[in-house]
Amino acid sequence: MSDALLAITLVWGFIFLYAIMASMDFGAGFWAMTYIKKEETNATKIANSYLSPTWEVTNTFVVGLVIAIYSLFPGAVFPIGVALIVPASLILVLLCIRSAFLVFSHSVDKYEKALTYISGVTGLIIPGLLISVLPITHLGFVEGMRGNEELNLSKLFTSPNEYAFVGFGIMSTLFYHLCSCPITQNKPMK
Amino acid sequence: MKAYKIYRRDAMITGPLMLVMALLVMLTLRNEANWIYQGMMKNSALLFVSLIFFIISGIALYLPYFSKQDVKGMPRLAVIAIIIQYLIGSYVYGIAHLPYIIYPNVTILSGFTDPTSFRAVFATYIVGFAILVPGFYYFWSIFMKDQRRKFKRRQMSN
Repeated sequence: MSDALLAITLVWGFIFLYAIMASMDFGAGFWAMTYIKKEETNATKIANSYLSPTWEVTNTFVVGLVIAIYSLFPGAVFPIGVALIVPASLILVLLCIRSAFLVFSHSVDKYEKALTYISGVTGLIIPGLLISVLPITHLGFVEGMRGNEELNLSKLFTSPNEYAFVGFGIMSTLFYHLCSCPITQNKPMK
Repeated sequence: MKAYKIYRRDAMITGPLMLVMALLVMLTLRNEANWIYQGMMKNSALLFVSLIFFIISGIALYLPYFSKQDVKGMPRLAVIAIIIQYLIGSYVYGIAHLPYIIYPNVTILSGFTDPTSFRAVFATYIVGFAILVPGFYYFWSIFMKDQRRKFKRRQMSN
């Protein structure tokens, strides 16, 4: 195994671990919003117990990922940065809003309901944006010569493949959360 | 048990939808990024194994619905099968994506760092993770794990 292959395996491993842990967090937001009307069960309560600031620990993996790419592939940083400037900025802004609500709404009661809706909506949008990094890297819409690359946004947003990936990302987030939620609760549900 | 039933019902809806989306991804990939589709088809046996694991998790979710037996053991099997399925799927995609980081301009070799710098960074990562992973586990056991069992055991021993 060559050095470059080892390095990219490390980066891909980061992405995989983050995908598994982040889908717990994002899925919880959406399902807590969906189950809010079902007062007679504790489904919202269970989903809400996952909506805790502790899950935001997983976002350290985003930092780890950026550092890994920057230190292992310095020559690729500029094209990646240019290609991801729009989706990555949106992801960071949404993560900021979501994390702020998660952390502070527990101390200010009147934001409890706003928290449910904000974490529900961002729990759908962020996975969609995160997974659209993949179509950006493989569709070949990063155009231009070396040193002044540019992402062709109009081509990206008219591509069916991009939307297929977004749908796949959202669905697998929701499905994975539902699968894994009952077991990590140690089955105390009555 | 009521909440568990709601969860399983919705998992039974979103699971097949996810499979449909994965098929759509493959179909649109064939039209728009044929190079990666060809690369993934080289490992089509692994993709098939991944599909089998998805079906195993589907069986684990659906089976108790018909048998009406005790359902306790099944969600664990479902989630393990799904994680293995993700692992295989992302391996096939990742291998097919090589050597490009961003197609067609950036490859892993064109952007790679100096070999000595790589060795230093890699060693740092190993040390860092040796610290971080037990830290994560400790954090998990404090905040996320269900503490009720432990309390019950403590009450019994008192």
